[in-house]
Order: sequence, then C-alpha cells, then structure tokens
Amino acid sequence: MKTLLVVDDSMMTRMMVKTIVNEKYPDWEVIQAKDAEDALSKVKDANFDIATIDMNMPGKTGLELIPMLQESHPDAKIALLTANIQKHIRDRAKELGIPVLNKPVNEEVILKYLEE
Amino acid sequence: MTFLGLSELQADAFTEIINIGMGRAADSLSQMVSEEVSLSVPVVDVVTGDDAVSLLESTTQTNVSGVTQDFAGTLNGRAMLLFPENQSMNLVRLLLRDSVPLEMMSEMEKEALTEVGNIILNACFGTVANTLSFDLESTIPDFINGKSKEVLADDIADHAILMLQVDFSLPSKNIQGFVSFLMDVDSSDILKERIVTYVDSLTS
Repeated sequence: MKTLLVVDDSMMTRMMVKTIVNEKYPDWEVIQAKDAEDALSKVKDANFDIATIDMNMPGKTGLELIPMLQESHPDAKIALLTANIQKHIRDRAKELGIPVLNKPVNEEVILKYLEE
Repeated sequence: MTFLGLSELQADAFTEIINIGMGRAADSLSQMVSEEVSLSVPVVDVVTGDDAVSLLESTTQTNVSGVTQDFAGTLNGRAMLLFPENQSMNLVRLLLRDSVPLEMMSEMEKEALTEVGNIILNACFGTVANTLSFDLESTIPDFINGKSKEVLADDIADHAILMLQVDFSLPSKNIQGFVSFLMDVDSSDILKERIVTYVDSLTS
C-alpha cells in the first residue's frame, strides 16, 4: 500500500488522477491538495511515497513547492504534472531532478510514472 | 507587407507556428473527448480594440463561456478559449461522461472548462513560445461567462492590438469554439524580431 499526494488547483485533475490510481491500486491512499499551502499543511505530519504536482496554482507554483517537499520528504518520488509545455519549465524540472508529465491526464502516462 | 510589417514569408511562418501550436492543442482536446477536432486556418491581423470586440461578437451572436488567461514576460497579452454559451455544456458532458452524476454537471462546468482552457491555451502558446524562443508567464485561468466584449480587457478600446484567432469544432458533436490571442502592439515589436530571427535561421 502506498500514499500518493496530488497537488492541483483543478478539482477535475485531482479527481482524474485519483480515479486512475485507485482503479489500479484500490488500497492506495490519495491525499489531495488544492495548492501549495494546502499540500504543506496536509503532509506536515504525514508521509507520502509518490506525488504529482501542478505547476500553475494560486500562491506558490509547483516548482516552488517541490524543493520544499524534497527537503521534508527526501524519499518521495515527485513529478510535475502540467499543461505548461515551455522549455524553461522543463529545464527547471530537470535541475530539480524530477520528470514532467504533460496534461491532459493520461492513464498510460500516470501508471507508467507510478510503476517506474 | 503584412501585419507588423512582416514580409509574406515571415507572416506565413508565424501563421504556421500558430497552426502547429493549435495542432498540439487540438490533439490534447481530442484525447480528452475521444473525438476528432477540426481546425480553421489561423487569422492574424492588427486591429483596434473596438474592432477586436466587433470581430469577437461576429464570431458568436450569443453569450460566451470559456476561459481567459493573461500572459506576461517577453510578450504581454490575453489568450482566450471561448464557446457559444449553449455549446459549452455539450463539451463538459463529453469531458466528464460517466464520471460525474448528471445533477453535478452544471456545478462542474466551470471546473471542467477552466482546466480544458488551461491545457489548450498552454499547448498552443507554449508551442509558439518554444518555437520563437521566448518565455511566457501565465496567470491562473479565469472562467468567464457573458457577452463577448466583456471578456476583453476594459482598457483596450483605443489600443492597436495584434489579434489572432483559430476556430475549432468537434463536427460529430456539433461543438464549435475558438481560440484567440490579443497582444498589445507595443509587445509585438519583440514578437516581430523573434519571427524575423526564426525565419532567417531557416532560410540562411
């Protein structure tokens, strides 16, 4: 059993990721957060194994949140899940050592990321 | 000479870049709804703010629903994904299918359209930005519902604006919409420079 953290201001995206994950792994827990502040609050005293983080959110961006999560949860696997396909985003993600998953949410892409 | 004083070749190259960007956006939409998406040829022109309003109103006679997203950085402008109001719910139903109970559909309209807008607008303009080597910082998308002129910034009436528009449709579902981008002409000097550089790199 694992715990997935999904951080995205889009309820639709959170719902889609949760549906994909729980259909394949019914026993996994999915923590949903609507922005960086919500995410930090929810994982303050909780662990997570894997995370998908949106880029554009109210408040801190995903690329601002990720280093904070990497510090607090160094063993977690984290990916940026974003509609923003621009090169400077990919470059920054590469610097952080994280993969970029492009929206729209795709079952094959999400499952491949979870399983690799 | 064409818009922004570009040569025919340069204008053609820019239009093609928009076309490629919309192609990527259409692919994303097609994946989301599992339907074929048709695209028009992009229209690009410099217009006044009042003309932009008239053009938008002529594209749809009714109220519109959709998403706007402001961009800043190398270029400043507003990108829009708009549907005639009565068609946006058709798209929402297609997107959400059986995953949301019927009674929740209206509630999810704003949510679903905002996310679709985010994906489509970023796919299109992200591609343009990457091709022409500039960075665009985008705001969180805003859901809008109202008359066409209400979606434009209040202060554009007297400005010259670079306007580009691509119509798209899902023929089998009778859904039509359009993507539009308005940019202050002052920003477009940089855009022009990047287009010229891009074309020169291909032709030299």
